[in-house]
Amino acid sequence: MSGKGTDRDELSEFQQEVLKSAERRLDHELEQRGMTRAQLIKGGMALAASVGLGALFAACGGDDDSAQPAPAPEEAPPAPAPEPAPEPELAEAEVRTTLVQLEATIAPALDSDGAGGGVGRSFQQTYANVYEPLIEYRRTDDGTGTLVPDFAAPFDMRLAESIEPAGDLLWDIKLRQGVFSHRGNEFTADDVIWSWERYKCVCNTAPIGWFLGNFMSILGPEVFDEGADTSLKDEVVKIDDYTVRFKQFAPNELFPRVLAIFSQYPYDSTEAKKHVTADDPFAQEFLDQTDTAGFGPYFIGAWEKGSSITYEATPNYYRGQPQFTTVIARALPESANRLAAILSGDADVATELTPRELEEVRASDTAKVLEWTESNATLSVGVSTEIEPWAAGGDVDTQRLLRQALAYAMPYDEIQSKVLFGTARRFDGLISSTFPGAKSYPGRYVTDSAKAADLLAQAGYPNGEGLEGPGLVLYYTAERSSFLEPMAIEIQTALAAVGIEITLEPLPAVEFDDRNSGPKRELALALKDQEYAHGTDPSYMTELFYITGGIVNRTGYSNPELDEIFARAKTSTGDERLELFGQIQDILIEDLPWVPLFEPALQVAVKEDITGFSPRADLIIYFHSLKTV
Amino acid sequence: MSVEPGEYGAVGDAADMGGERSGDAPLPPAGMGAQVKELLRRSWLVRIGLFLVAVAVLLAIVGPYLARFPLEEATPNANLPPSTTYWFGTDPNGFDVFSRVLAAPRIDVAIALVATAIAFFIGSAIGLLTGYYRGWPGEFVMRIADLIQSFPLYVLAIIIVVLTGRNFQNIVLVIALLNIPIYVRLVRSQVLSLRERTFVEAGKAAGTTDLNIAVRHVLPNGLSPALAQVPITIGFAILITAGLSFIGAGVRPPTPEWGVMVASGAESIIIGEWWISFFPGVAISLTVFGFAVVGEALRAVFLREV
Repeated sequence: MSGKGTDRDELSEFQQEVLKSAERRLDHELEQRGMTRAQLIKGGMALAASVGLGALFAACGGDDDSAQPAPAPEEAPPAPAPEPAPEPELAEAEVRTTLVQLEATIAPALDSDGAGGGVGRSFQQTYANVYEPLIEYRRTDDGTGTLVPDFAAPFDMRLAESIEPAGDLLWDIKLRQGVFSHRGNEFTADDVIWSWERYKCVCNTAPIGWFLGNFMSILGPEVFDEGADTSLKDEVVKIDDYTVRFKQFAPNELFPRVLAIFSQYPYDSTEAKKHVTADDPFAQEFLDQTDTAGFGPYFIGAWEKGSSITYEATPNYYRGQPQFTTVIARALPESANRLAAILSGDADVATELTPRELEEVRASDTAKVLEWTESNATLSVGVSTEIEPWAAGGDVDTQRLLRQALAYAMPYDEIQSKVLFGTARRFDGLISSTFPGAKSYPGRYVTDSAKAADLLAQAGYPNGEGLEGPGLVLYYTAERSSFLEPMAIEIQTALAAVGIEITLEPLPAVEFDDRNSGPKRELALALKDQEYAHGTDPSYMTELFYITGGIVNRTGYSNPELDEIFARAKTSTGDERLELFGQIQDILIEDLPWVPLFEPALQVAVKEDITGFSPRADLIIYFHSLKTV
Repeated sequence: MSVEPGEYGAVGDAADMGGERSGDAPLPPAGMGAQVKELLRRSWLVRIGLFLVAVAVLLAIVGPYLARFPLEEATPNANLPPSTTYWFGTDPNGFDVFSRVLAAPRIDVAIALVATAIAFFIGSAIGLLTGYYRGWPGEFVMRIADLIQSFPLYVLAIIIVVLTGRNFQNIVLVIALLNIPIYVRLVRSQVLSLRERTFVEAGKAAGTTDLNIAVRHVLPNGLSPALAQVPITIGFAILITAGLSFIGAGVRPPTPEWGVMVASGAESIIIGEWWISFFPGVAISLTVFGFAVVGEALRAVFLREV
């Protein structure tokens, strides 16, 4: 599977590969540790003990689809190449052209507006590699070959060639000419218009396109009125084949920033329209369940839902051909198996390894860790304002004291050293610190048991006495328990030390997301590491998470003063806007709707010779820039 | 290893239980106590099984008091291999594996004992009534039992636990529910045969009520297979409890429980930290093995009485 001359025929025997991988890994371990096979038998017995229970799990139906050989591709899309870009000037024999990536899951659906709501790392990775943005964050080499985004720099133009003001709240976007999809359809203004018609129709399950359009003050909320006309009017109009005009209904600096978010990438409308029906006017069935239609560097060659996706390079991609013209992403749920595969050289990329497993990768000579320490990922504990005892009978002052007590009781050093292995930054605010306009409050909350006890006493619960209610539960996702559970146990131990006795409740990710959703808000204390803000701006993050009724305000937090400032800040510009968002963050750091813990580095394990890592906050990898040394 | 209706004629003997067969001499026809003593004398396997059961039960009572370190307080000493300080090493949270292995029977064995007791009493009562009073209610009950037993055991357990909530009571009730049909079948099949015996007719002729005959005369004679099943059920219940916890549907972490402990170390085996899963895994194996051996021994004794 690995090394030079990788091909898919070998991958079809995937189970064999995994076994070989484990064998090679064991040999490697023996050599590194200077152990004898007799000593290793102890480990084998432990494996047998756990496999025994694993077999019980399998017996009850918990079989692992990912271990099954991949069937033949359902349908290979045609790949016309009007004007193929020149191949890289490298000797064919020296260059690997197939990349194997192992992930925890593979997307079961691919439409950003579909039932999945655009959520999920695998889905977003597909979207980011198959579709092409109008603009993208500027990326610079950090000196190690990793291309890190700069949120403060001007955007790079992609499908857009320029964005210019064209009057009061009007913006003209000149589109790049000569861009073709892998089906040979040229990108034009019609594709942008059709995409925005689709966003405004809000006829799909999760209208993410409308939602982001609304964030930029392009699409208004009137589309949800009964009997509303949802056809596109003057919000986005075609000026000519390569120019479109956007009209905002209010000043808002999130335009054009939000255009860089994944579900604002234009569709190949020529192809999509072929799959339109009377009941499905925007080809949701095709774009969700069958295939994609974009202008990105890759298209989908084969897709086994939930198990694997094979990407093929778009022959006529306008930014040139990638080195890896075939990328095979496969699901391998157990992180230990992904670790084994990357260490043995059977995979080129392995994502979502635990920090401890990444330490193993660093210590190896076959693989390495590529990381982005300045990411906008966050790790925090959301605290409900509606579930007792944290609701405090509706007394917001007591609520605040309780949340601050939690913040002072948190075992920051233990989490950093034992779980994160020193790779994360303290999250010293409530807005990701890399966002332009973010404020940081170093030292505002440090582990201080005495202070926590004092705040508890002020709240009326000295030593935690009387602190009762259904909310004394810390939830986290079971699928990530190898990472989150040690952290949760540290928190449980630390809170017990100040008199707050909580229990731990791992939930399946689907249940966690459902019960933690904005409308339900059933999780009293939610330990979460998947709360990424795609829109890299305090406004975007505040509107999502902190304002009253925010779409993903999962704690029920509400502060009328903050809401009022936000309403003014959203339509302000320049220094005034920054000042207002500064005030908002001053409120947030005192109110603590989340207890901020860390901003973890994004890390991915790759084969030793791979470089060109181009990460996003959600650990999406752009395959186009990956190459071997 | 479970006893099925129709197997009752297959009486085990000492050789089946790892004993030394002296010729083909069967166990002497003596009282139950004497038979147990004889079985213990002859079979080293039964002696080991009984020892393992005794240790498990003893640890369920005193295990947490034997812990050398705090059971649920995270410490900085994470992932340490076995040493003179940490005999079984430590896990990713810095918990002492040895202390937790000793303390875990408090949960595993307690759940198994309570669940088995519930299944035994309820299942036997239903088996007695449906066997003695034949007719459509009995058939209806048996079809319900069929329904429960037709589901894959773990799938059913997971579904029920997830729906009802993960706590001690619900896990106990789920395991009891899964085992009730076994006792219903065992007792019912005995009662169906016993109710035709002459002592029942004699009782009726003497004017004894049906309920009295069923409870006082039929039940005591029909319980042996069910009693022999009890240790086997306990062992299996321990396995189910650990299995549920292993997949995250059982006992909540960081409660010391063998399934939770195996799960917490399962992914560490690949990086050489074998001890986190190994010792609780061995503990599960030995305990289940002990109960299974004792169950088989009891079956040999009880079925000889039938």
